[in-house]
Amino acid sequence: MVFTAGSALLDAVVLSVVSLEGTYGYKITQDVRKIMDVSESTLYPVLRRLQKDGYLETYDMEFQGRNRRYYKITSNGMILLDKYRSEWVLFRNGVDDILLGRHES
Amino acid sequence: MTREEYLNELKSSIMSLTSDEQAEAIQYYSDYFEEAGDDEKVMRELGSPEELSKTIIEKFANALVDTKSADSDNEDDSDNNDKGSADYKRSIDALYFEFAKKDVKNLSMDFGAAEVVLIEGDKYSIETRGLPEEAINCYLNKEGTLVISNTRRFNLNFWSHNRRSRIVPRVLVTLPKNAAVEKFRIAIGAGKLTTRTLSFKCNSGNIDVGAGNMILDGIFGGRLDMRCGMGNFEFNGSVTGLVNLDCGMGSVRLNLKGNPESYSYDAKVSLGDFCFNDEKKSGVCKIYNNQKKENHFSVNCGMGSVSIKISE
Repeated sequence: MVFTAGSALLDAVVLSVVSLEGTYGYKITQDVRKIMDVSESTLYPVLRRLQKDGYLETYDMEFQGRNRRYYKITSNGMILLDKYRSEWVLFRNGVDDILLGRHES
Repeated sequence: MTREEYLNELKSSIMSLTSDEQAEAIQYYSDYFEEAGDDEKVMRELGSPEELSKTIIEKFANALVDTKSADSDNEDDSDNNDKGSADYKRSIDALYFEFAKKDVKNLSMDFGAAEVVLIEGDKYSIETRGLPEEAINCYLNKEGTLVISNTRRFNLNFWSHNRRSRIVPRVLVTLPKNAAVEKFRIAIGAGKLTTRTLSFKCNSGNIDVGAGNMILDGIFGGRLDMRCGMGNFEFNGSVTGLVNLDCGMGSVRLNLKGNPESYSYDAKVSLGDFCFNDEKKSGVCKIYNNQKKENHFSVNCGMGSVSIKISE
């Protein structure tokens, strides 16, 4: 990918991935890496920070005879995600206007 | 490298984080291995345990204790907010304690291997970074002694030079302006301690510098015993009464306020240098004495250098 993603965008993508379903570390990493060029090691600090700030929570559930740690989004996380989404639309429209020459009427 | 070896190495590289934080990270990555299935691929992608630990630590421990300006908390409402017991405010790997000025009768601080800064504020507060929770003791005991101690004597990361990830534990201590205590103790091992100009008074106490560096500015004492092993010790303030000063291989410099006429000394100098105001004494195994006055230094100077200057 030629465009680098800032940390706010990474936060937004992680929140969005987690908001779809209760999911776990490895899967989140794989999902994010489908669209963003981030190293495997960056995801843990992001998840931990979002969890510490109260946007994500974890719970343990048994999976094939062992505990798997799941992440889910909190209501504060949903609020933040909504904010990111509307910011993103503004940003994307602005970039589209200039980059693709689309003019608002 | 097996998965177990990888995780063990990771664990030892993130020892500077709190134990909770360590456990979280290890849990996360052992899950990660489990899910991914292909250990070798995961290790390739995560990089060496050392590299991975850097990513983890940078995010959690990098918020260093800054010498936060003391006038940022100027409000006079300290006494209403503070109860006698410690107030915990916890964020990632930082610990915070605070105590009201009136509750503290004695102060005992032992920092071991850490970087410490003392500043002045409106209450006693202690902020730490990079110290695991179980290594720092901070409480007010029944006698009204505020005890601050770092029980981690030896920090592996502290000594290693080839490790970019080494984290030196940091401590920021705030002492209230014009605070006075009965007994005062301050000790540092292989660490470093500096002060912004203080106005701290104590009746008696002792100061212990192991292999570290300590600069104290603005401690006004009665009787203060001082010991300096291999370190450097600089003291600006005052002392009165009988003062024992022991300097092994280190260097001690005292700049004191007082009437030079009211101070006397006796000194045992083995191989070191001893300087009292402008009298320079050095030599091998010499003993110097002068008439005892109201304030007296008893100096034992091994191979170190001791310099005492008194002026009004």
